[in-house]
Amino acid sequence: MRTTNLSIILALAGGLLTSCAAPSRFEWGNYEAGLYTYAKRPDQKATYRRALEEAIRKGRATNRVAPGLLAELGYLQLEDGNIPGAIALFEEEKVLFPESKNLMNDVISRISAGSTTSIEKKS
Amino acid sequence: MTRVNTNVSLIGIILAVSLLSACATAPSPKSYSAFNSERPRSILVVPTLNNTGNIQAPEFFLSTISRPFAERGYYVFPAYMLKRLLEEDGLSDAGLVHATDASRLGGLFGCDSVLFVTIQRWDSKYLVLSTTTNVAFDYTLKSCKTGNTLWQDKQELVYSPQQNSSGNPLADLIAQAIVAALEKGAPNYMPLTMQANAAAAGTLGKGLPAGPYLSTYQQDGAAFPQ
Repeated sequence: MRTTNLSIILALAGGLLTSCAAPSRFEWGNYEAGLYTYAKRPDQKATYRRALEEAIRKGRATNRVAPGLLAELGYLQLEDGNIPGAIALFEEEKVLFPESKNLMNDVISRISAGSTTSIEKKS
Repeated sequence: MTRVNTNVSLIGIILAVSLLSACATAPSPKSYSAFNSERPRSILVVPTLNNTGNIQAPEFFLSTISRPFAERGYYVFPAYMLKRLLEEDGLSDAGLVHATDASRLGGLFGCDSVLFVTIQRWDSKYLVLSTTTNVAFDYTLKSCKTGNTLWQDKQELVYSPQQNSSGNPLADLIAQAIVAALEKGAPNYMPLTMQANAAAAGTLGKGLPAGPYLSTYQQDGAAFPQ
C-alpha cells in the first residue's frame, strides 16, 4: 500500500517535473558555462571555444545545432586569423538559419574589405 | 503503517503542488496583439543596461540570455559576436544602444526584433546567519520595423540557502552560518539569472508564443490572447 502510494506520487511529481523541463529544441552543450568562464577570465578563451566546438559537433549529429553558435565560433576563428574557417562557419549559420543572412553577409564582406578590427590587428 | 502512509502522501502532495506552481504560474492577462501583428522570427540581444553597482553583471548575464529565448523557437543572433561588432562600430555603451531606435538596429543587422534587458538588481546581502541573493530584470522586445514595443516582462528572484535542522541547536547555528558565508562568498547569481530568463521567455500566457523553430508555431494562440 505504502509502496503503491509512494510510486504514484513520485510518478505524478516526476511527470510535472518533466512537463516543465521540456526537452531542448537545440543542442547547447556547455555553451553557457563556457561563455561565463570566458567572461570571468579572459585567459579562458580556449574553454569557450571547446564548449562551442563540442556543442556544434553534437548538434550537427542530431540536426539540432543551436542558433548563433556557428557564428560565435566563426568569430573566434576570425579573431585568431583563420579567415577561411571563419567564413565557412558564417556560411553554415546562414544555411541553417536564413534569419542571419544579412548579418553573415555583412560580416563576410567586412572580412573581404579587411575592415573588422581583428583583421586590422592581424595585418 | 497508516501514519507513514499519510506522511508520505502529504510530502508527495506538497512536492507536487510546489512543482505545479513553479511551472504553471497563473498568467496575468497580457495583450499579444502587437506581437502577433508582426510575428518576429529573429531576436537581436543588445548589451544589457546595468542599474546596479556590480560592473561585471552585464558580461555574466550575456551568457544566459540566448538559450531560453532560442528554445522558444526564435533565431537569436550570436550574443557575444554582436557585442564585439557593436564595440567595433562604436556602440559599446549600453545606454547609447538602448536609446537607439530599434528600427535603426534593424537596418544594421537585419533583425525582426530587438531585446533590451535592464539589470535592476544583482546583489547579495549577508546577515551572519543568512544570506539573501537578489536579481531583478526588465525585458522589452521591440520591433525592428516600427520600433514599437512587442512584448514586455519583469522578473525578480530571491535565493536564500536553507539549512535543515539536525536536532542539535548549536550544530544548526554553526551550519547555518557556514551556509550563509558560502553563499556570500559565491552568490548563486547564475542559476537565479537562468531561472529568471527561462521564466520570462517560457511562462505560458506571459512569455513568448512559440516561434518558427517550434512545432507548435502558430498553434498556441489560446494561451497568448490578443
